Amino acid sequence: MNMLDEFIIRAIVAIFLLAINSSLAGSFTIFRDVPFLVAGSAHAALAGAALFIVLEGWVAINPFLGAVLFAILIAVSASRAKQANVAIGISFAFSMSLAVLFISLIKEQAARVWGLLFGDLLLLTDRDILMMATFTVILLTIYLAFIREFLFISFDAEGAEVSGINVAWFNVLLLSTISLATVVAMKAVGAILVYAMLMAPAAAANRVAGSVGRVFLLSGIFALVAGFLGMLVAMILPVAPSAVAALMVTTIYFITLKRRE
Amino acid sequence: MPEVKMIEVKDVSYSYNGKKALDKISFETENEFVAIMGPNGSGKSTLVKLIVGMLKPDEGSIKVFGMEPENARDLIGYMPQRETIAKHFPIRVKDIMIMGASSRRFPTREEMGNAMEALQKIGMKHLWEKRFSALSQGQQQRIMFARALAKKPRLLILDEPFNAVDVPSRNMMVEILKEEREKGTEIIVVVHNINPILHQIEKVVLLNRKCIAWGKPAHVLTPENLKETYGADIQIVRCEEGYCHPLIGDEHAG
Repeated sequence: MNMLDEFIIRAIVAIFLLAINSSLAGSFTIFRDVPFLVAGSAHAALAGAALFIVLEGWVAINPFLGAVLFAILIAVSASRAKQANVAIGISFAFSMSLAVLFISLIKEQAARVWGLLFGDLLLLTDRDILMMATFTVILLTIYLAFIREFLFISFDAEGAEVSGINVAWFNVLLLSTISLATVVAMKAVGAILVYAMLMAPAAAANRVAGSVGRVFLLSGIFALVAGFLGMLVAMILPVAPSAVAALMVTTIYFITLKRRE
Repeated sequence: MPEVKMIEVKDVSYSYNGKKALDKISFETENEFVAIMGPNGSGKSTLVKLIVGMLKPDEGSIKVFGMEPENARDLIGYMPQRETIAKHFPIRVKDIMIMGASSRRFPTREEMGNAMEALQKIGMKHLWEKRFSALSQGQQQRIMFARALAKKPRLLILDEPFNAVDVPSRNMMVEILKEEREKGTEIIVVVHNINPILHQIEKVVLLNRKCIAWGKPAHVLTPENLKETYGADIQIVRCEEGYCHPLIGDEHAG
């Protein structure tokens, strides 16, 4: 197997992992009505990665963990606020300020952080895939274990509380899984396009599906098809695969807008 | 042995950011159909949230069947206000009904039967597979009502259950409440307009941040108490059956 084949196989695996995250975390972002959490988490992750690169001068520490930590912090702050989207917006601004500040401290390494902004589906390493797969399995397990609780608090938080569900705790857990999925997907498509790849498939599926189960299924299919088409186009033309995939899923969303409620 | 009180509220106060929503509320009820009534912003929903244990009182204490409210939740069927329900994703009626009837991921056959039976009772069994968001506001309210019933609770707590419900459907809901009461279910209903249930209730709590009065409707719904509660003169009409209806919000539903 030549090196090109290896990169393509890794890209195919990454697209499947991306589709799983889009199906689960993307759908719950729509159900829980926290659309900006994905964008907020992605930019918080940039700040976290930048901080850990700064700290690399003193301790051996993986910047990916910094990204995960900061993304989860934004989820926690959103879960504690009455107006989650306002808290996410402010956290977004705060973490971007931090990101720029940290990047200015590590000018010679800044390219590593900016690389996270764009990602590259066709340049993923075995280590990247292993990390994405590990976190996706963890997320899948959490969603399967608590799907009833997550749906209940998304639909009717008061009713869930009276039914004995610890709404505050499950809210933190649900928002943290969305933030974690964002960091996982960022590896493949970058911080800018991750919003399109997680949100647009689920938003489109939510408009056309007749049940919650079908939203999960359709959003996964939309992300999968867009991911593969993006990769195919990038193999023929000199364009970024994630940009083509993001264009596809957003176009699918705009098409579903034509459908009457 | 004395019967355990359904609800015991003793000197309960609650504030939102320093602003008193409830001030030293006290009342108790036992195996009754109770209405909590008051104007907008009078603290009705806050009181309900305290009774079901969603909020903790700043002062005073609340007991439900002699227990702390959060320990009595298995005995309560709760219908929240419709504004708090999400309507933007395609959750189906059956998913909602099962949420109410079972605390398990895979409900038992009996719990499924209870959910179906509650839906049938309100004449909406045919909507089992339908998207909740595709239903009218009144249908959505009735589904939430059926969900509270599906649990077969000892205590039903309904927060503004008749909002957006048309008169025939409202009458059907009142009839079901009457049947539930006859079976021994204890009921608390928060209402802006008490008239649809006035013939069924046994006690009423008149609220405007403090408890203006509580007890039998004939004793509580007096011009003086209503004026103190609503800050205006409320006309009272005596119906053929001898009940005194305060003309608040809408018509006398009989």
